[in-house]
Amino acid sequence: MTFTTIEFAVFMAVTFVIYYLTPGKFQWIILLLANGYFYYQTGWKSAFFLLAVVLVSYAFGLLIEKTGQKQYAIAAAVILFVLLLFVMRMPFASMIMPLGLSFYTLQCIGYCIEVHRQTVPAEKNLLKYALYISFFPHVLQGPFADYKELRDQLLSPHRFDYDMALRGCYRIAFGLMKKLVIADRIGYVVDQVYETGEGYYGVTVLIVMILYAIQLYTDFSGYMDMAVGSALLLGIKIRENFNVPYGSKSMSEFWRRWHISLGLWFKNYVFYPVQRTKLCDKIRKTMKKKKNRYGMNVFPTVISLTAVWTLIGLWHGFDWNYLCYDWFCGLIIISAELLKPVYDKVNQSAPKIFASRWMDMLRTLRTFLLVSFSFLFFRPDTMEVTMRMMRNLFTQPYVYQAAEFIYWNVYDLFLIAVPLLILGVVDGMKYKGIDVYERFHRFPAVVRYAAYVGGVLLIYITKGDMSSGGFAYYVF
Amino acid sequence: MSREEILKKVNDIFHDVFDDDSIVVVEETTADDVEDWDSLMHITLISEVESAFGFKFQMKDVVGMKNVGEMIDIIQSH
Repeated sequence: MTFTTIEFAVFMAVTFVIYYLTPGKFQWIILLLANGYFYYQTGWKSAFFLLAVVLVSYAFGLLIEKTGQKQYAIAAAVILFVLLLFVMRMPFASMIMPLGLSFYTLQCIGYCIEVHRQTVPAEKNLLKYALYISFFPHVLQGPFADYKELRDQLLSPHRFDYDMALRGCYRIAFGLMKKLVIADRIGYVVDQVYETGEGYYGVTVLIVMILYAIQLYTDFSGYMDMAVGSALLLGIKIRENFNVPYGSKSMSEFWRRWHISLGLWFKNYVFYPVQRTKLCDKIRKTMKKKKNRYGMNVFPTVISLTAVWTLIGLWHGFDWNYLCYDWFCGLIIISAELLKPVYDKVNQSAPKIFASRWMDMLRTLRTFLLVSFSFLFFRPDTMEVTMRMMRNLFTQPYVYQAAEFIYWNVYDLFLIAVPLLILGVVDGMKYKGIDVYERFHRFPAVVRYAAYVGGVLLIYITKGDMSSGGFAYYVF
Repeated sequence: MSREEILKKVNDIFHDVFDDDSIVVVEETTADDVEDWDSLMHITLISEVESAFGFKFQMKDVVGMKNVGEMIDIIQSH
């Protein structure tokens, strides 16, 4: 039951009504039942996995709290869950890989670590803990929640809040537009090219590469809009996972704006712990003695970023494509750190030019192109296709083929033009920190209602094939 | 050591770590207020504070510290 199906709409409506009719004290039980029903739709084997992971991590939470600062309980928990992820990533397990496992398992690890760090007490009530892990807006694809942030919201009573619910509806509608109109339609155009990559050159590959960057963003962030919107309908605020990533001026800024909750997870549970290891400490001290300020920062950073990006690559899947994709991102971020003194010098040499708006726009364009290029690792099924497309991109421009390619796909490209324009305006406003919802509500009612009708018609007319259903990130 | 004295010492560490003598930290200063204070520089800053005051921060403090005031709270508690 994905967010774009009629079944989900009915499920959401029924949950919504029962939830607000139930006395506040018992609302969390309705949520838990809804979660159970939602996840059970993915199959009983998957449901069994979820149940087992919840039970084991719940028990670990209690054990970790009981053993205090001793390391063995937390070490056992982390090893066990990492092992589970590892085994389930092996080729033989791909057929039974439960939906969302790699998301909720990381969430369980995060919970155990927080209990160990004593930032939260272990949850004593198994059902309340199960509610947190299985919360249906985030169980399949994140965002990774923070137990501290979400627990009270899930358990406290909620009265219907018109403003919040309306915001939720907007987010869902906007997410639907991103997914059904833009992402799915771009899929029609680019899928054929990514199959083998053969016979496409230069500008055509560039166009396909850029289109895929838009597709992945609208697919994944469209899902997140629907997740955030569904939670808002229940009076609950979950984390935002995207913050106008294509407005970033550097790769590291991009990763602070793209899949934010994944970045935060790895920062808290991998980056900082590696930075605090004895090895990194020793390097820092040695460099300090040598009065090497540069090495003091940079070397531990390189070590921890390498660990982070390798692990993110493995988390995406045991596949050279994913690993190369994440290493590529890591490599750019690490190089930027290594070359920072050079960049700083260059920027200071002509501050008028390098601090200008034009330069910022160029940086944004450069980052977007780099990110789009990195997806040449991410999207194809094999490295062979990746290599072919990268080679073909640079061999010859072949503008005639690009014109022909656009001509053949002009219908699909025409249909996404208006939605893309709307997305561009909304993201542009968000980038400037404007509350788009609030701004929209300043319009007279007649304009707003015309926009609703127009929006529904637009989605209906231009949407792709609804039966395709799946989201790009379901594969993880 | 009084809060003011700690703040002064912390301020000197900021000058040293960020290589910028114009930084003036107050209790409310957060990572957003200091240009280069990102997660990469955070750990360098933390370990400099540790060696200056002779104790080790717990991981929950490293991650959870919201501003310089909270850093001083933790320093004072040791």
